[in-house]
Amino acid sequence: MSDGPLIVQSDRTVLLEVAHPLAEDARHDLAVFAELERAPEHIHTYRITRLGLWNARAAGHNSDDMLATLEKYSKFAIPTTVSLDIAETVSRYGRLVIERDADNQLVLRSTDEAVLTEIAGAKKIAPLLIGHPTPDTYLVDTWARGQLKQELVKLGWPAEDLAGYTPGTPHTIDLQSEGWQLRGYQQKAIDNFFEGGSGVVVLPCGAGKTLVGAGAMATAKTNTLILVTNTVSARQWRDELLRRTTLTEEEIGEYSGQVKEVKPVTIATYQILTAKRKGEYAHLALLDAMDWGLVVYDEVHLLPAPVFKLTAELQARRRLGLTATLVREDGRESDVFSLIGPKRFDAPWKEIEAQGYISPATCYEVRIDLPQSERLTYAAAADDERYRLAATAPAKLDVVRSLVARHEGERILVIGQYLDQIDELAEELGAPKLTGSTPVDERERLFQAFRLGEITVLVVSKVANFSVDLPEATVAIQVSGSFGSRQEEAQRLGRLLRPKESGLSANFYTLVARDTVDQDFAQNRQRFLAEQGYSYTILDAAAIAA
Amino acid sequence: MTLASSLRARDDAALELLLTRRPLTTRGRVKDFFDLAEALLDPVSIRAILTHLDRHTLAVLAASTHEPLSAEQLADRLETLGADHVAERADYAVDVALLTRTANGYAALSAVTGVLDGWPKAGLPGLVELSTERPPAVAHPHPVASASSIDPSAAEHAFATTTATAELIVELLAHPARELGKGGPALPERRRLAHAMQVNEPTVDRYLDLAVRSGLASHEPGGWHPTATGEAWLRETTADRWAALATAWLEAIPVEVRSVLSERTSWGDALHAYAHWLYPAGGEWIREAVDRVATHASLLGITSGPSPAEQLLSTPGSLLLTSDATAAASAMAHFFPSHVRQVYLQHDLSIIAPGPLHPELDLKLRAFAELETRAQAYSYRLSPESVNRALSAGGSAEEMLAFLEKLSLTGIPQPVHYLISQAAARFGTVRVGLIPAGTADVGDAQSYVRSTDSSMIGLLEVDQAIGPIGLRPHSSLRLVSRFEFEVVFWALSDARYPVAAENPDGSLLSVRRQRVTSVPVHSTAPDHSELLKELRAAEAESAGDSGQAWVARQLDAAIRAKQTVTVTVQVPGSGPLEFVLEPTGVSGGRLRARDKRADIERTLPLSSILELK
Repeated sequence: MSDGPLIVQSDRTVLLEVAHPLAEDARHDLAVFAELERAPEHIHTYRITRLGLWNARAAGHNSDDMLATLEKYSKFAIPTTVSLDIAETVSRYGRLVIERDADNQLVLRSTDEAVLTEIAGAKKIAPLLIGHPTPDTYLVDTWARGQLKQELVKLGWPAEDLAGYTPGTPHTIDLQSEGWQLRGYQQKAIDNFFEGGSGVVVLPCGAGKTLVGAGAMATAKTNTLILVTNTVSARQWRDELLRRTTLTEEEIGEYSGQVKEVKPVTIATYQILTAKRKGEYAHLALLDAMDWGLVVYDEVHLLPAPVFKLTAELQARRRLGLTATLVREDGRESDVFSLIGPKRFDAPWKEIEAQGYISPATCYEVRIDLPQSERLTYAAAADDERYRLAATAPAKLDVVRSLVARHEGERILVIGQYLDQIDELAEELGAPKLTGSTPVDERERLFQAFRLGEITVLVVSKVANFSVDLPEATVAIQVSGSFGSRQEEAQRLGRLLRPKESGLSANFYTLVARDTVDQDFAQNRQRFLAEQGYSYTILDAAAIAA
Repeated sequence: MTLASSLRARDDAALELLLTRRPLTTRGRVKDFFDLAEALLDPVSIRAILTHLDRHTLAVLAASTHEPLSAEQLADRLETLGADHVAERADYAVDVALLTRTANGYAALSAVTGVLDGWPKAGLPGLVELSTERPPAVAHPHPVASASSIDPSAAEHAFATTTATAELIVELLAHPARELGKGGPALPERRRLAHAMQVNEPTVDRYLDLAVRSGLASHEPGGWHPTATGEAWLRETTADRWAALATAWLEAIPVEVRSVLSERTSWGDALHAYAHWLYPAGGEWIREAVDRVATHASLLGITSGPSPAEQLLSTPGSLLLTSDATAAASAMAHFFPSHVRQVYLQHDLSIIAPGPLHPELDLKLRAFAELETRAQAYSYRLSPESVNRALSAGGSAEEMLAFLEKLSLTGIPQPVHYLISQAAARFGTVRVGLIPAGTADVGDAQSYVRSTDSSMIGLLEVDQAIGPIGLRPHSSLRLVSRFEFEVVFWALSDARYPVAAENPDGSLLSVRRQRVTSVPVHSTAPDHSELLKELRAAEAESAGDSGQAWVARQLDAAIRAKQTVTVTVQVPGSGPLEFVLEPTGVSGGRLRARDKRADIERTLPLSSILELK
């Protein structure tokens, strides 16, 4: 016990006092096995979970190391329940191993017969085992490799997968590193990934996840399938690969709603993969269309549930997951762990921030008093109408105008949820708009013009939320949003967090109609953003106009 | 009859004590001291009290005879107990009406000896076993047990229990807990308490029991209430709170058992074996009592171990049993997270105390922030509702901000400042109050809403969200509702109106959301005053009859028991005469009895009887 920066609590949370002189060191060591849950300004909360411990174990750490970290930095005695739990949980990883026997058959092996007997008797596991050649092994059906891992995690006995991968058809890919090179942590992420086999690399937005993907491809030098969230993102991947690798346009195919090309490097959307025709997945053939030696999953925290099922059958191919967070809104973190793989690399925040790759964003909530007439309309409205009325209150328009004027010359995104509001904003501001109905080519043109500075204000709807690189935007004004979803906020902020060449810091404004249901959502947002470490200020609309 | 006379001679305090120790199951039939004696001599009642007697007291009872014996004589018969100890136990047995005391010593009661005589057949010890059987041997200490392995986990339990009990008292102060007819807290109460205490719902009873036994809460018909002791206890440090709980635990244990507990480094089965030896008739009662002592000991970190059967004494536990609570508390405090006096105030409106906040500051902070999580560190959260609650209770933004300024290690973040000052600036723009009954021109309205802002009144009139409370105009700046004012207050508060509740004189009124129905306050002790009154009245009545009724009741009892009595009779012309008689009947104001010495039947007028022994 020392007067350290950590407080280890019996509910398995660990608090970190950020201002403590040892906080940085403690954070570095703690991040190995605990998940960061909240990171407001002064006290960060980590949680020690089974998956976190297994992820750490997979990365080569043992429970003694983890307990030593806690002991070293803890302010109070470590609750015995916590230390016992850590030792017990960690010891479970690796007692079961999936590998190949001398005949190249897939087997589940364990030196602990009791564990083997326990799991072999489990209802959902027994059907996956097709033989028991020796006391310490069971034969596993080839197709069941993924499902077996999933079920084992559910039972609390995660297996280490050492069964190897199909090498895939070789394809020459090199990095085109003229005028740039991989940052140290990016290279480390790639190295860790190959050492571990398959798994997930966690890096914050703006820290160059695409480059990690490109680096991995250049290391594997094999046919690669890249799965991304949408078409715009697919095109950005393609552009980035063309820019950063020796790959040419002929070698990269897009497989989406618009285009269906299968090439040595194919970029497909999750949506097309999960599209069904007559109740059947219509594009499953893509998964076996080429002998893929590497499958890259972009934004793995957004991976749709059906893709897990398909991925369960892709266990013989090397898989790389890329994400800013392992937290999934649907709580299926354990599927990422079993099917894509354990975490192989975690963001070295200290390093990334020190290198200035992430520009800090400042968040403002602007409270707008509705004029009496609007207030009366709102009050007289039924519940289901109220959110829309508050979100689209005309009084917000003046504030948007003031904010745009205040940030004149900067690149500004105005974000709305309702189409008529977007139309009105675009017209009032004399700015182009971008919605779900904007054709992909037009979208790309607008994004390009925005990047080049030909357009400084862009009014966008939800469509711009996912995986769109607009690094030059320094201001986002959220006029209305859909019910304060955490993921949506993260995406919006993520866009502003991308490195700024201009050196300007980013500002994120949300406009809130006072004393309306808008304010409730704002309260959640405030909490979430502050918990993400952003500074947060509440302003009255009058202060903006002044 | 002898017992009835001895009961009659007791003062009210002694009777009260007796009735508390030996609760009557047949209260309805007890009209006078004879009925009372009869009820106490009922074998069921005797068996009930015998289960609670320790081996030595039972041995004294078993050694007693109908001929009175002195304490020395009893000690001689028993051999294992000194006269002083015998006297102490015999006096107790007299107090609980299992022996009678005469000028010559202690005499057994037939009903009691009757029950004890049947014990060997029922597998219970007889006189010889009671007085000679040795206690079970002290178990050997656990081979790997050491203070260093036991103390930290014991301290964790102690800390968790102490803080959970504190949350229990805080919750009971906010609102007492209602009890179900079949016992235990009602389900919503159980949930509320478990949530606040951060414990599993089924364990709530255990903490209630601990709080009641420690005097922090009272268990009354209908529910649980905090006591003044409980409220004061909240102001103490965690170590002192623990000391109070541990002391109460210790005091509930008989002195001789304490030494046994301290000898037994390993509890569990060994403790049960000893308790069974000490209370041979204890059965279920003693099993439960030992379980409770052991459970509470484990909760309080007096013992610790991997399972209930393998509990070892911790260092503070050992000090508690052998030294005093202060030494124990200081040993325990060494393991507790130390109290802190400063907190981190954050943008997300959370307040984190990097350790348990000092109790005095904790209570002050809770006035306007909700405690959110509590473990080694404490986390609170500010919300418009929590700030409004403090404002309703008479707090001001200046006070809150000044307190936070002093408390915070990190200044006051802008959103916190904004929240408090905005809430204060707008607080009370809308006022809600109760319309006194009988007020003219309000119809069935029970409450009013007023504001000095006419646009606010206009808004309230059309607001759909508060439609259900049916506000209707009364005058230009006043609306009324037929609902109670608390209902109106919370409806407006939920709809984000800056509402304050006020008294008829316009002063502010603090309103707390009612989560449960209220519990009527009752006294904890069973009330024997009615019975005592009745007994004394019957006694007075018999005295008014020149003692005839009393004599008749005594004779009735003697007839039923086929007992021989010594009767002193006034014989006209020859002075008092004494007869040894076996009464056979009383009728028409005359006693019929067999004279044992003369071997004849006698008939005597009751009015001539001077004394009856």
